[in-house]
Amino acid sequence: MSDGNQQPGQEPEVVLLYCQHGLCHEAKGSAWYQECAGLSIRAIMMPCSSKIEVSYILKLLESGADAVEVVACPEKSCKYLVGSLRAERRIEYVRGLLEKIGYAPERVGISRKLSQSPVQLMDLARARADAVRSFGINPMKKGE
Amino acid sequence: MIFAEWKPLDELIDKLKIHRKVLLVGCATCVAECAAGGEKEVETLAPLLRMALKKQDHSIEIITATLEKQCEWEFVEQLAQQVAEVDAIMSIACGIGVQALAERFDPVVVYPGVNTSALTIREEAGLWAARCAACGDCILGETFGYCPVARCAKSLLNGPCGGTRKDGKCEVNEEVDCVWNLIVERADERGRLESLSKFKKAKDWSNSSHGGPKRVIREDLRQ
Ligand code: SF4
Ligand code: SF4
Repeated sequence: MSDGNQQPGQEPEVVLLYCQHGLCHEAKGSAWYQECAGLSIRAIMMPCSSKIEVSYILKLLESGADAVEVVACPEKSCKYLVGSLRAERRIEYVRGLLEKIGYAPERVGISRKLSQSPVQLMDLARARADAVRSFGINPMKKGE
Repeated sequence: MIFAEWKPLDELIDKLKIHRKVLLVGCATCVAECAAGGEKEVETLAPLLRMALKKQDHSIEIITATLEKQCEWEFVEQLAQQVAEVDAIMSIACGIGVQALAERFDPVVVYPGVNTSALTIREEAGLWAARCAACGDCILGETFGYCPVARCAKSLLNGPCGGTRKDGKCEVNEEVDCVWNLIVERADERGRLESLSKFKKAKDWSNSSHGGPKRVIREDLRQ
């Protein structure tokens, strides 16, 4: 299935929204950036994954992101108890909405991880990129 | 609160695709409480519609606004400037808000983006349930605070119907309490069971929608 136009040479742009506790302690406070061959990643730290609203994710896709990966704490480790559970439910809801308008729900995903190194976070983004590659670029980029 | 829910997205997309520029308007009151038509929902539905329309090769601009109350003229007026720029409006307020916009901004076409379906209470996060049907002749005083008009599947005034399940749920929906079971239980708790078997006059439905469109005048409030 394709919901967009696959164009050779265009690598997926992935937005990574991660809970502050998703990043390991050593990497905190330092500006971290990881070069990823063949992939464009924008990583944004959130105070808690529950801060991620459905509208934020849709706006990211509307503005051309090919995929969004949310990194939330495992259920029992969430500092706000139900924050990551809420995030997970919202992601499910967004995926349902995407399906209804003919977009691949795989464009949005969530991982439950704690204290990841920057490299590990990038791997999660890469996995999301791989999951959407077959769907082509985001149809919002058509005619740019 | 007045409860509403989004119409199917296909239906909304179909309405909008013939337009050039559309104003999507929400209301920060009841429909925000039921997570269908507040600012959050406007800012969720707008990108969704833009994405859907773009995918179908329709280039339509969607601008947004959310009024404090879409059923008050003072707030409706705040849209005048934006409405001048568009060739259609989609409102995700209840039917009252939709009609207010249609009346004020005639001849601009106004589409309802939601179906207004009930008067509800939020029982818990993400769960709303009917509590009133605006019958115009409230009988809560005789039914121990439970409304059989809105909460009995058959709107019985002399229930229970006989179909109540063993666990006290309604025969029509196993997830909903039989409201007549609740009424009888509360009457019993208060030692007032006999009050339910008293003869009652037929309910007066003339003050509900059965009596024609409602129109109320309060001279003390008129200018
Ligand atoms: S009896 Fe009528 S007015 Fe009273 S709660 Fe029920 S529907 Fe509403
Ligand atoms: S089981 Fe109770 S709520 Fe359901 S229809 Fe019968 S009386 Fe009404």
